[in-house]
Amino acid sequence: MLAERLTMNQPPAQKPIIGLTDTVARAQQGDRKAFEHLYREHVGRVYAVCVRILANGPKAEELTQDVFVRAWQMLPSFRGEAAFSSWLHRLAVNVVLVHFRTEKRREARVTAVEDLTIFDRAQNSGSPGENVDLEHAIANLPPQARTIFVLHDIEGYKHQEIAEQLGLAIGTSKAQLHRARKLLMEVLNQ
Amino acid sequence: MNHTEILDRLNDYADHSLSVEEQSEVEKHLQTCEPCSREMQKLDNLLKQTQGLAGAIEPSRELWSRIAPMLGPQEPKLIPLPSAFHRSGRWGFEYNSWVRYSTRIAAALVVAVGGFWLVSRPSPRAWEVARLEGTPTIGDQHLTLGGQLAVGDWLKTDSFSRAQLTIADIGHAEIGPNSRLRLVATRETEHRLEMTQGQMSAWVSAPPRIFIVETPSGTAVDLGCSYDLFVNESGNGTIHVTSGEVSLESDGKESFVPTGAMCETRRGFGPGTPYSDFSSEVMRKALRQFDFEKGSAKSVELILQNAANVDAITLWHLLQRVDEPARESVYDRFATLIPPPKQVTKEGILRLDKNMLEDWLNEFAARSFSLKRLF
Repeated sequence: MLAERLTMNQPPAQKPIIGLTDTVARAQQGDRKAFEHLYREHVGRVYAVCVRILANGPKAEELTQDVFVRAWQMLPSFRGEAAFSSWLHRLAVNVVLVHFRTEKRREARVTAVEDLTIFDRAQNSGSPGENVDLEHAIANLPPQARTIFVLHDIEGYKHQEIAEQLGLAIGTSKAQLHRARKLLMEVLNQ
Repeated sequence: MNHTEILDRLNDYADHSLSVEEQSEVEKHLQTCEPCSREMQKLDNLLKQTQGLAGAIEPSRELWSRIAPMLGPQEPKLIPLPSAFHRSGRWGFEYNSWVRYSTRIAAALVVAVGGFWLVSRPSPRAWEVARLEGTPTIGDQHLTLGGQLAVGDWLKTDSFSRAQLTIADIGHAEIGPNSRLRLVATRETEHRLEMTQGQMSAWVSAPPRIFIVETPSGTAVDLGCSYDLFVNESGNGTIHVTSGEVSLESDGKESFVPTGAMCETRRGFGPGTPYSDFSSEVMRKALRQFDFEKGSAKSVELILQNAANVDAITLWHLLQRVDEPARESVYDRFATLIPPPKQVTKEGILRLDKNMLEDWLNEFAARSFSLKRLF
Protein backbone atom coordinates (compact mmCIF):
# COMPACT_ATOMS: atom_id res chain seq x y z
CA MET A 1 0.00 0.00 0.00
CA LEU A 2 2.57 2.49 1.12
CA ALA A 3 4.94 1.40 -1.58
CA GLU A 4 2.66 3.23 -3.96
CA ARG A 5 4.26 6.45 -2.79
CA LEU A 6 6.69 6.45 -5.66
CA THR A 7 9.15 9.27 -6.14
CA MET A 8 11.49 9.81 -9.02
CA ASN A 9 13.92 12.23 -10.59
CA GLN A 10 12.29 15.22 -12.19
CA PRO A 11 13.50 16.30 -15.64
CA PRO A 12 15.65 19.44 -15.82
CA ALA A 13 13.71 22.67 -15.26
CA GLN A 14 12.60 24.25 -18.51
CA LYS A 15 13.09 27.84 -17.39
CA PRO A 16 14.51 29.70 -14.39
CA ILE A 17 12.17 29.87 -11.43
CA ILE A 18 10.99 33.34 -10.45
CA GLY A 19 12.51 34.53 -7.17
CA LEU A 20 15.74 32.59 -7.47
CA THR A 21 18.95 34.57 -7.63
CA ASP A 22 21.59 33.59 -10.17
CA THR A 23 23.85 32.28 -7.43
CA VAL A 24 21.13 30.08 -5.96
CA ALA A 25 20.13 28.82 -9.41
CA ARG A 26 23.75 27.94 -10.23
CA ALA A 27 24.17 26.17 -6.89
CA GLN A 28 20.96 24.23 -7.59
CA GLN A 29 22.56 22.96 -10.77
CA GLY A 30 25.53 21.64 -8.83
CA ASP A 31 27.90 24.63 -9.03
CA ARG A 32 30.03 24.29 -5.88
CA LYS A 33 31.66 27.72 -6.28
CA ALA A 34 28.21 29.30 -6.25
CA PHE A 35 27.34 27.30 -3.15
CA GLU A 36 30.55 28.43 -1.45
CA HIS A 37 29.52 32.00 -2.20
CA LEU A 38 26.14 31.33 -0.53
CA TYR A 39 27.96 29.77 2.40
CA ARG A 40 30.18 32.84 2.91
CA GLU A 41 27.15 35.12 2.72
CA HIS A 42 24.97 33.21 5.18
CA VAL A 43 27.18 31.20 7.51
CA GLY A 44 27.31 33.89 10.20
CA ARG A 45 23.56 33.89 10.69
CA VAL A 46 23.30 30.11 10.65
CA TYR A 47 26.15 29.72 13.13
CA ALA A 48 24.65 32.42 15.37
CA VAL A 49 21.37 30.56 15.81
CA CYS A 50 23.20 27.25 16.37
CA VAL A 51 25.67 28.59 18.92
CA ARG A 52 23.09 30.60 20.82
CA ILE A 53 20.75 27.64 21.24
CA LEU A 54 23.45 25.07 21.95
CA ALA A 55 25.86 27.28 23.92
CA ASN A 56 28.63 25.04 22.68
CA GLY A 57 31.02 26.28 19.97
CA PRO A 58 32.29 22.94 18.57
CA LYS A 59 28.81 21.39 18.57
CA ALA A 60 27.41 24.52 16.89
CA GLU A 61 30.06 24.22 14.15
CA GLU A 62 29.14 20.57 13.71
CA LEU A 63 25.48 21.47 13.25
CA THR A 64 26.34 24.42 10.98
CA GLN A 65 28.20 21.89 8.88
CA ASP A 66 25.11 19.63 8.86
CA VAL A 67 22.90 22.56 7.87
CA PHE A 68 25.02 23.41 4.83
CA VAL A 69 25.45 19.78 3.77
CA ARG A 70 21.67 19.32 4.05
CA ALA A 71 21.09 22.62 2.22
CA TRP A 72 23.33 21.45 -0.62
CA GLN A 73 21.50 18.12 -0.86
CA MET A 74 18.06 19.67 -0.69
CA LEU A 75 18.74 22.72 -2.85
CA PRO A 76 17.22 21.22 -6.04
CA SER A 77 13.87 21.15 -4.25
CA PHE A 78 14.05 24.82 -3.22
CA ARG A 79 11.37 26.50 -5.31
CA GLY A 80 12.29 30.08 -4.56
CA GLU A 81 8.93 30.92 -3.03
CA ALA A 82 10.71 32.48 -0.07
CA ALA A 83 14.08 34.19 0.11
CA PHE A 84 16.98 31.75 0.19
CA SER A 85 18.11 33.26 3.51
CA SER A 86 14.70 32.49 5.10
CA TRP A 87 14.70 28.95 3.74
CA LEU A 88 18.22 28.35 5.02
CA HIS A 89 17.45 29.87 8.39
CA ARG A 90 14.37 27.72 8.75
CA LEU A 91 16.43 24.68 7.87
CA ALA A 92 19.02 25.68 10.49
CA VAL A 93 16.37 26.03 13.19
CA ASN A 94 14.94 22.63 12.20
CA VAL A 95 18.32 20.94 12.38
CA VAL A 96 19.12 22.51 15.75
CA LEU A 97 15.73 21.68 17.24
CA VAL A 98 15.86 18.08 16.06
CA HIS A 99 19.30 17.83 17.65
CA PHE A 100 18.12 19.63 20.76
CA ARG A 101 15.22 17.26 21.11
CA THR A 102 17.39 14.19 20.66
CA GLU A 103 20.16 15.34 22.95
CA LYS A 104 18.04 17.26 25.43
CA ARG A 105 18.33 14.89 28.34
CA ARG A 106 22.04 14.36 27.92
CA GLU A 107 22.85 18.04 27.53
CA ALA A 108 20.60 19.02 30.40
CA ARG A 109 23.14 17.38 32.67
CA VAL A 110 26.01 19.31 31.10
CA THR A 111 25.65 22.76 32.55
CA ALA A 112 29.13 24.09 31.94
CA VAL A 113 29.44 26.23 28.84
CA GLU A 114 32.79 25.37 27.38
CA ASP A 115 34.14 28.39 25.57
CA LEU A 116 32.41 31.73 25.68
CA THR A 117 35.04 33.60 23.69
CA ILE A 118 33.09 32.63 20.57
CA PHE A 119 30.74 35.49 21.36
CA ASP A 120 33.61 37.95 21.19
CA ARG A 121 33.50 37.39 17.42
CA ALA A 122 29.96 38.76 17.21
CA GLN A 123 29.62 42.11 15.44
CA ASN A 124 27.21 43.68 17.91
CA SER A 125 25.54 46.98 17.24
CA GLY A 126 25.21 48.01 20.88
CA SER A 127 27.87 48.42 23.54
CA PRO A 128 30.34 45.56 22.85
CA GLY A 129 31.10 44.83 26.53
CA GLU A 130 27.44 44.79 27.55
CA ASN A 131 26.49 42.56 24.66
CA VAL A 132 29.20 40.04 25.40
CA ASP A 133 27.89 39.92 28.99
CA LEU A 134 24.39 39.32 27.65
CA GLU A 135 25.61 36.58 25.27
CA HIS A 136 27.37 34.88 28.19
CA ALA A 137 24.29 35.18 30.37
CA ILE A 138 22.12 33.66 27.60
CA ALA A 139 24.59 30.82 27.18
CA ASN A 140 24.29 30.02 30.87
CA LEU A 141 20.48 29.79 30.88
CA PRO A 142 18.91 26.35 31.33
CA PRO A 143 18.67 24.67 27.88
CA GLN A 144 14.91 24.88 27.35
CA ALA A 145 14.60 28.47 28.60
CA ARG A 146 17.60 29.44 26.46
CA THR A 147 16.12 27.83 23.33
CA ILE A 148 12.81 29.58 23.76
CA PHE A 149 14.45 32.93 24.55
CA VAL A 150 16.62 32.70 21.42
CA LEU A 151 13.72 31.66 19.21
CA HIS A 152 11.30 34.27 20.55
CA ASP A 153 13.35 37.30 21.49
CA ILE A 154 16.24 37.01 19.04
CA GLU A 155 14.83 35.11 16.08
CA GLY A 156 11.30 36.49 16.29
CA TYR A 157 9.32 33.22 16.38
CA LYS A 158 5.80 33.27 17.86
CA HIS A 159 4.90 31.20 20.91
CA GLN A 160 2.49 29.10 18.90
CA GLU A 161 5.20 28.12 16.44
CA ILE A 162 7.75 27.46 19.17
CA ALA A 163 5.27 25.32 21.08
CA GLU A 164 4.47 23.35 17.93
CA GLN A 165 8.10 22.78 17.06
CA LEU A 166 9.16 21.82 20.57
CA GLY A 167 6.06 19.77 21.32
CA LEU A 168 5.07 22.01 24.25
CA ALA A 169 1.95 23.81 25.34
CA ILE A 170 1.90 27.52 24.46
CA GLY A 171 1.69 28.30 28.18
CA THR A 172 4.91 26.38 28.78
CA SER A 173 6.66 28.32 26.04
CA LYS A 174 5.53 31.61 27.64
CA ALA A 175 6.50 30.49 31.13
CA GLN A 176 9.96 29.44 29.97
CA LEU A 177 10.46 32.75 28.16
CA HIS A 178 9.50 34.71 31.28
CA ARG A 179 11.82 32.55 33.33
CA ALA A 180 14.68 33.22 30.92
CA ARG A 181 14.08 36.97 30.98
CA LYS A 182 13.90 36.99 34.78
CA LEU A 183 17.18 35.10 35.08
CA LEU A 184 18.87 37.38 32.56
CA MET A 185 17.66 40.53 34.35
CA GLU A 186 19.00 39.18 37.63
CA VAL A 187 22.42 38.44 36.13
CA LEU A 188 22.70 41.70 34.22
CA ASN A 189 21.60 43.82 37.18
CA GLN A 190 23.99 42.28 39.69
CA MET B 1 -5.96 43.98 37.78
CA ASN B 2 -4.23 44.49 41.11
CA HIS B 3 -0.52 45.21 41.64
CA THR B 4 0.55 41.53 41.76
CA GLU B 5 -1.42 40.64 38.66
CA ILE B 6 0.10 43.54 36.79
CA LEU B 7 3.60 42.58 37.90
CA ASP B 8 2.92 39.07 36.58
CA ARG B 9 1.80 40.41 33.23
CA LEU B 10 4.61 42.85 32.48
CA ASN B 11 6.09 40.38 30.00
CA ASP B 12 2.79 40.19 28.12
CA TYR B 13 2.63 43.99 28.19
CA ALA B 14 6.15 44.21 26.75
CA ASP B 15 5.18 41.69 24.05
CA HIS B 16 1.97 43.62 23.21
CA SER B 17 -0.05 40.48 23.76
CA LEU B 18 -2.65 42.07 26.10
CA SER B 19 -6.01 43.43 24.99
CA VAL B 20 -6.22 47.19 24.34
CA GLU B 21 -8.01 47.67 27.68
CA GLU B 22 -5.46 45.63 29.61
CA GLN B 23 -2.58 47.38 27.87
CA SER B 24 -3.96 50.75 28.87
CA GLU B 25 -4.64 49.56 32.45
CA VAL B 26 -1.00 48.45 32.83
CA GLU B 27 0.22 51.72 31.35
CA LYS B 28 -1.74 53.72 33.93
CA HIS B 29 -0.50 51.54 36.76
CA LEU B 30 3.11 51.97 35.67
CA GLN B 31 2.78 55.76 35.97
CA THR B 32 1.98 55.50 39.66
CA CYS B 33 3.67 52.30 40.92
CA GLU B 34 7.43 52.60 41.43
CA PRO B 35 8.31 48.87 41.91
CA CYS B 36 6.40 47.92 38.75
CA SER B 37 7.92 50.81 36.85
CA ARG B 38 11.44 49.77 37.96
CA GLU B 39 10.77 46.19 36.88
CA MET B 40 9.44 47.38 33.54
CA GLN B 41 12.53 49.51 33.04
CA LYS B 42 14.77 46.47 33.59
CA LEU B 43 12.72 44.42 31.16
CA ASP B 44 12.82 47.21 28.57
CA ASN B 45 16.60 47.44 28.91
CA LEU B 46 16.96 43.70 28.44
CA LEU B 47 14.78 43.69 25.34
CA LYS B 48 16.60 46.68 23.85
CA GLN B 49 19.94 45.07 24.54
CA THR B 50 18.72 41.83 22.99
CA GLN B 51 17.68 43.72 19.86
CA GLY B 52 21.23 45.05 19.64
CA LEU B 53 22.81 41.59 19.53
CA ALA B 54 24.60 40.65 16.35
CA GLY B 55 22.61 38.90 13.65
CA ALA B 56 25.72 36.96 12.68
CA ILE B 57 28.57 35.29 14.53
CA GLU B 58 31.42 33.97 12.46
CA PRO B 59 32.48 30.35 13.02
CA SER B 60 36.11 29.29 12.68
CA ARG B 61 37.66 30.02 9.28
CA GLU B 62 38.39 26.41 8.47
CA LEU B 63 34.73 25.34 8.67
CA TRP B 64 34.22 25.57 4.90
CA SER B 65 37.22 23.30 4.33
CA ARG B 66 35.41 20.67 6.42
CA ILE B 67 32.09 21.15 4.60
CA ALA B 68 33.37 21.20 0.99
CA PRO B 69 34.50 17.53 0.87
CA MET B 70 31.13 16.46 2.24
CA LEU B 71 29.14 17.91 -0.64
CA GLY B 72 28.10 14.74 -2.40
CA PRO B 73 25.41 14.39 -5.01
CA GLN B 74 22.31 16.54 -4.59
CA GLU B 75 18.95 14.95 -3.93
CA PRO B 76 16.60 14.77 -6.86
CA LYS B 77 13.45 16.84 -6.68
CA LEU B 78 10.63 14.75 -5.29
CA ILE B 79 7.35 14.93 -7.11
CA PRO B 80 4.02 13.41 -6.17
CA LEU B 81 2.66 10.70 -8.43
CA PRO B 82 -0.88 10.27 -9.66
CA SER B 83 -1.10 7.18 -7.50
CA ALA B 84 -3.95 6.01 -5.33
CA PHE B 85 -2.09 7.61 -2.47
CA HIS B 86 -2.81 11.07 -3.76
CA ARG B 87 -6.27 10.46 -5.05
CA SER B 88 -7.50 13.41 -3.01
CA GLY B 89 -5.59 15.66 -5.41
CA ARG B 90 -4.37 17.97 -2.68
CA TRP B 91 -1.33 19.02 -4.57
CA GLY B 92 -3.18 19.89 -7.75
CA PHE B 93 -6.44 21.34 -6.56
CA GLU B 94 -5.83 24.81 -7.93
CA TYR B 95 -5.44 23.69 -11.52
CA ASN B 96 -8.24 22.97 -13.91
CA SER B 97 -8.70 19.33 -14.74
CA TRP B 98 -6.87 19.11 -18.08
CA VAL B 99 -3.80 20.76 -16.62
CA ARG B 100 -4.02 18.43 -13.66
CA TYR B 101 -4.31 15.31 -15.80
CA SER B 102 -1.68 16.33 -18.35
CA THR B 103 0.70 17.03 -15.43
CA ARG B 104 -0.06 13.63 -14.01
CA ILE B 105 0.46 11.89 -17.34
CA ALA B 106 3.77 13.71 -17.79
CA ALA B 107 4.84 12.75 -14.27
CA ALA B 108 3.88 9.14 -14.91
CA LEU B 109 5.95 9.13 -18.11
CA VAL B 110 8.94 10.60 -16.29
CA VAL B 111 8.63 7.91 -13.65
CA ALA B 112 8.18 5.14 -16.18
CA VAL B 113 11.20 6.23 -18.27
CA GLY B 114 13.32 7.11 -15.22
CA GLY B 115 12.34 3.90 -13.46
CA PHE B 116 13.20 1.84 -16.51
CA TRP B 117 16.57 3.58 -16.75
CA LEU B 118 17.31 3.09 -13.07
CA VAL B 119 16.43 -0.58 -13.00
CA SER B 120 17.92 -1.45 -16.37
CA ARG B 121 21.39 0.10 -16.00
CA PRO B 122 24.08 -2.29 -14.81
CA SER B 123 24.88 -2.20 -11.08
CA PRO B 124 28.36 -2.76 -9.64
CA ARG B 125 28.79 -6.27 -8.26
CA ALA B 126 30.76 -5.11 -5.21
CA TRP B 127 30.33 -1.93 -3.21
CA GLU B 128 33.17 0.50 -2.54
CA VAL B 129 34.13 0.99 1.09
CA ALA B 130 36.28 3.91 2.25
CA ARG B 131 37.92 4.05 5.66
CA LEU B 132 36.90 7.18 7.55
CA GLU B 133 38.52 6.45 10.92
CA GLY B 134 40.30 3.57 12.67
CA THR B 135 40.59 0.23 10.89
CA PRO B 136 37.33 -1.22 9.63
CA THR B 137 37.51 -4.77 8.28
CA ILE B 138 35.99 -6.66 5.38
CA GLY B 139 36.16 -10.34 6.29
CA ASP B 140 39.59 -10.62 7.89
CA GLN B 141 41.11 -7.86 5.79
CA HIS B 142 41.94 -4.61 7.63
CA LEU B 143 41.22 -1.51 5.59
CA THR B 144 43.92 1.11 5.56
CA LEU B 145 42.37 3.16 2.77
CA GLY B 146 39.43 1.32 1.34
CA GLY B 147 38.19 -1.91 -0.17
CA GLN B 148 35.28 -3.64 -1.82
CA LEU B 149 32.34 -5.38 -0.24
CA ALA B 150 31.14 -8.33 -2.29
CA VAL B 151 27.96 -10.36 -1.76
CA GLY B 152 28.37 -12.46 1.38
CA ASP B 153 31.18 -10.25 2.82
CA TRP B 154 30.94 -8.81 6.33
CA LEU B 155 31.95 -5.22 6.99
CA LYS B 156 32.86 -4.63 10.64
CA THR B 157 33.90 -1.58 12.60
CA ASP B 158 35.23 -1.56 16.16
CA SER B 159 34.63 1.16 18.70
CA PHE B 160 37.27 3.40 17.10
CA SER B 161 36.45 2.99 13.44
CA ARG B 162 34.00 4.32 10.87
CA ALA B 163 33.57 3.68 7.15
CA GLN B 164 31.83 5.17 4.14
CA LEU B 165 29.91 2.66 2.05
CA THR B 166 28.85 3.30 -1.54
CA ILE B 167 25.46 1.65 -2.04
CA ALA B 168 25.89 0.33 -5.58
CA ASP B 169 25.17 3.38 -7.76
CA ILE B 170 22.12 4.60 -5.85
CA GLY B 171 23.51 6.21 -2.71
CA HIS B 172 25.90 6.03 0.17
CA ALA B 173 25.97 5.28 3.87
CA GLU B 174 28.23 6.19 6.75
CA ILE B 175 28.82 3.23 9.02
CA GLY B 176 29.46 4.14 12.66
CA PRO B 177 31.53 2.37 15.33
CA ASN B 178 30.75 -1.17 16.53
CA SER B 179 28.81 -2.12 13.42
CA ARG B 180 28.37 -5.48 11.69
CA LEU B 181 26.94 -5.57 8.16
CA ARG B 182 26.75 -8.15 5.40
CA LEU B 183 25.97 -7.55 1.76
CA VAL B 184 23.17 -9.99 0.98
CA ALA B 185 22.31 -9.07 -2.60
CA THR B 186 23.09 -6.39 -5.14
CA ARG B 187 21.25 -6.38 -8.42
CA GLU B 188 19.32 -3.87 -10.49
CA THR B 189 16.03 -4.46 -8.72
CA GLU B 190 17.28 -4.97 -5.16
CA HIS B 191 20.22 -3.97 -2.97
CA ARG B 192 19.98 -5.74 0.35
CA LEU B 193 22.10 -5.55 3.49
CA GLU B 194 21.93 -7.44 6.76
CA MET B 195 22.86 -5.36 9.80
CA THR B 196 23.15 -7.28 13.04
CA GLN B 197 24.28 -4.30 15.10
CA GLY B 198 25.70 -0.81 14.83
CA GLN B 199 24.74 2.50 13.31
CA MET B 200 24.27 3.66 9.76
CA SER B 201 23.32 6.96 8.13
CA ALA B 202 22.05 6.19 4.66
CA TRP B 203 21.19 8.44 1.73
CA VAL B 204 19.53 6.81 -1.24
CA SER B 205 18.21 8.09 -4.55
CA ALA B 206 16.27 5.27 -6.16
CA PRO B 207 12.73 4.08 -6.74
CA PRO B 208 11.05 2.73 -3.59
CA ARG B 209 11.80 -0.77 -2.31
CA ILE B 210 15.20 -1.04 -4.03
CA PHE B 211 17.37 -0.56 -0.93
CA ILE B 212 16.57 -2.86 1.96
CA VAL B 213 18.28 -3.37 5.32
CA GLU B 214 17.42 -6.42 7.40
CA THR B 215 17.92 -6.18 11.16
CA PRO B 216 17.15 -8.82 13.79
CA SER B 217 13.97 -6.96 14.78
CA GLY B 218 12.65 -5.65 11.47
CA THR B 219 13.43 -4.82 7.87
CA ALA B 220 13.90 -1.21 6.75
CA VAL B 221 12.58 -0.70 3.23
CA ASP B 222 13.64 2.56 1.66
CA LEU B 223 10.89 4.51 -0.07
CA GLY B 224 13.27 7.20 -1.38
CA CYS B 225 15.02 8.99 1.45
CA SER B 226 17.80 9.44 3.96
CA TYR B 227 17.74 8.01 7.42
CA ASP B 228 19.77 6.98 10.48
CA LEU B 229 19.48 3.42 11.72
CA PHE B 230 20.76 2.14 15.07
CA VAL B 231 20.76 -1.51 16.11
CA ASN B 232 21.98 -2.48 19.57
CA GLU B 233 23.71 -5.69 20.66
CA SER B 234 20.34 -7.32 21.40
CA GLY B 235 19.16 -6.64 17.87
CA ASN B 236 16.66 -3.97 18.91
CA GLY B 237 16.70 -0.87 16.76
CA THR B 238 15.63 2.71 16.15
CA ILE B 239 15.22 4.46 12.84
CA HIS B 240 15.11 8.22 12.35
CA VAL B 241 14.05 9.47 8.94
CA THR B 242 15.60 12.78 7.93
CA SER B 243 14.03 13.02 4.48
CA GLY B 244 11.58 10.94 2.45
CA GLU B 245 9.96 7.84 3.92
CA VAL B 246 10.86 4.39 5.20
CA SER B 247 8.68 1.35 5.72
CA LEU B 248 9.66 -0.90 8.63
CA GLU B 249 8.36 -4.40 8.19
CA SER B 250 8.33 -7.66 10.12
CA ASP B 251 6.00 -10.68 9.93
CA GLY B 252 3.27 -8.79 8.09
CA LYS B 253 3.42 -5.80 10.45
CA GLU B 254 4.30 -2.50 8.78
CA SER B 255 5.19 0.92 10.18
CA PHE B 256 5.36 3.86 7.85
CA VAL B 257 7.97 6.38 9.02
CA PRO B 258 7.94 9.79 7.29
CA THR B 259 10.41 12.68 7.48
CA GLY B 260 10.94 13.96 10.99
CA ALA B 261 9.70 10.76 12.63
CA MET B 262 11.28 7.86 14.49
CA CYS B 263 10.32 4.27 15.07
CA GLU B 264 11.68 1.64 17.43
CA THR B 265 11.88 -2.09 16.74
CA ARG B 266 12.17 -4.93 19.26
CA ARG B 267 13.11 -8.54 18.73
CA GLY B 268 10.00 -10.66 18.97
CA PHE B 269 7.70 -7.65 18.54
CA GLY B 270 8.79 -6.10 15.23
CA PRO B 271 8.33 -2.41 14.48
CA GLY B 272 6.59 -0.26 17.06
CA THR B 273 4.38 2.76 16.43
CA PRO B 274 6.22 5.68 14.80
CA TYR B 275 6.38 9.02 16.58
CA SER B 276 7.47 12.53 15.70
CA ASP B 277 10.85 14.01 16.65
CA PHE B 278 8.77 16.41 18.70
CA SER B 279 6.61 13.90 20.54
CA SER B 280 6.83 14.28 24.30
CA GLU B 281 8.70 11.88 26.58
CA VAL B 282 5.42 10.81 28.18
CA MET B 283 4.11 9.89 24.75
CA ARG B 284 7.23 7.91 23.85
CA LYS B 285 7.13 6.01 27.12
CA ALA B 286 3.45 5.18 26.72
CA LEU B 287 4.12 3.98 23.17
CA ARG B 288 6.87 1.66 24.36
CA GLN B 289 4.44 0.19 26.88
CA PHE B 290 1.81 -0.23 24.19
CA ASP B 291 4.16 -1.70 21.60
CA PHE B 292 6.51 -3.83 23.65
CA GLU B 293 5.14 -4.34 27.15
CA LYS B 294 1.53 -5.25 26.44
CA GLY B 295 0.28 -2.38 28.56
CA SER B 296 -2.49 -1.77 26.07
CA ALA B 297 -5.61 -0.22 27.66
CA LYS B 298 -3.84 2.06 30.12
CA SER B 299 -1.12 3.05 27.69
CA VAL B 300 -3.66 3.89 24.98
CA GLU B 301 -5.44 6.13 27.48
CA LEU B 302 -2.14 7.86 28.29
CA ILE B 303 -1.30 8.26 24.60
CA LEU B 304 -4.67 9.85 23.88
CA GLN B 305 -4.42 12.17 26.88
CA ASN B 306 -1.02 13.43 25.79
CA ALA B 307 -1.49 13.50 22.03
CA ALA B 308 -0.75 16.81 20.30
CA ASN B 309 -0.79 17.82 16.63
CA VAL B 310 2.74 16.54 16.16
CA ASP B 311 1.51 13.05 17.11
CA ALA B 312 -0.71 12.67 14.04
CA ILE B 313 1.46 9.92 12.54
CA THR B 314 1.25 8.00 15.83
CA LEU B 315 -2.54 8.21 16.06
CA TRP B 316 -2.91 7.21 12.42
CA HIS B 317 -0.99 3.99 13.10
CA LEU B 318 -2.76 3.46 16.39
CA LEU B 319 -6.15 3.39 14.63
CA GLN B 320 -5.00 0.21 12.92
CA ARG B 321 -3.40 -1.39 15.98
CA VAL B 322 -5.98 -1.08 18.73
CA ASP B 323 -9.00 -3.30 19.29
CA GLU B 324 -12.34 -2.15 17.96
CA PRO B 325 -13.70 -0.66 21.21
CA ALA B 326 -10.58 1.51 21.66
CA ARG B 327 -10.52 2.50 17.95
CA GLU B 328 -13.45 4.82 18.46
CA SER B 329 -11.61 6.73 21.20
CA VAL B 330 -8.53 7.00 18.99
CA TYR B 331 -10.71 8.23 16.12
CA ASP B 332 -12.34 10.89 18.31
CA ARG B 333 -9.03 12.21 19.60
CA PHE B 334 -7.41 12.13 16.16
CA ALA B 335 -10.39 13.91 14.57
CA THR B 336 -10.15 16.67 17.19
CA LEU B 337 -6.49 17.25 16.35
CA ILE B 338 -6.62 16.68 12.59
CA PRO B 339 -10.19 16.87 11.24
CA PRO B 340 -10.61 14.19 8.55
CA PRO B 341 -11.21 15.28 4.96
CA LYS B 342 -14.84 15.29 3.76
CA GLN B 343 -14.72 11.91 2.07
CA VAL B 344 -13.51 10.19 5.26
CA THR B 345 -16.25 8.93 7.58
CA LYS B 346 -16.04 7.65 11.13
CA GLU B 347 -17.79 4.47 10.14
CA GLY B 348 -15.28 3.89 7.31
CA ILE B 349 -12.30 4.42 9.59
CA LEU B 350 -13.73 2.12 12.28
CA ARG B 351 -13.89 -0.66 9.71
CA LEU B 352 -10.33 0.30 8.58
CA ASP B 353 -11.22 1.28 5.04
CA LYS B 354 -7.81 1.49 3.33
CA ASN B 355 -8.73 4.32 0.96
CA MET B 356 -10.07 6.46 3.80
CA LEU B 357 -6.99 5.80 5.92
CA GLU B 358 -4.79 6.91 3.04
CA ASP B 359 -6.90 10.02 2.45
CA TRP B 360 -6.56 10.99 6.10
CA LEU B 361 -2.83 10.37 5.97
CA ASN B 362 -2.62 12.66 2.93
CA GLU B 363 -4.56 15.30 4.82
CA PHE B 364 -2.11 15.64 7.69
CA ALA B 365 1.03 14.72 5.77
CA ALA B 366 0.50 17.90 3.78
CA ARG B 367 0.54 20.08 6.87
CA SER B 368 2.55 18.15 9.43
CA PHE B 369 5.77 19.67 10.68
CA SER B 370 8.79 18.31 8.93
CA LEU B 371 11.70 19.51 6.88
CA LYS B 372 9.50 19.01 3.84
CA ARG B 373 7.40 21.92 5.00
CA LEU B 374 10.21 24.17 3.87
CA PHE B 375 9.35 23.53 0.26
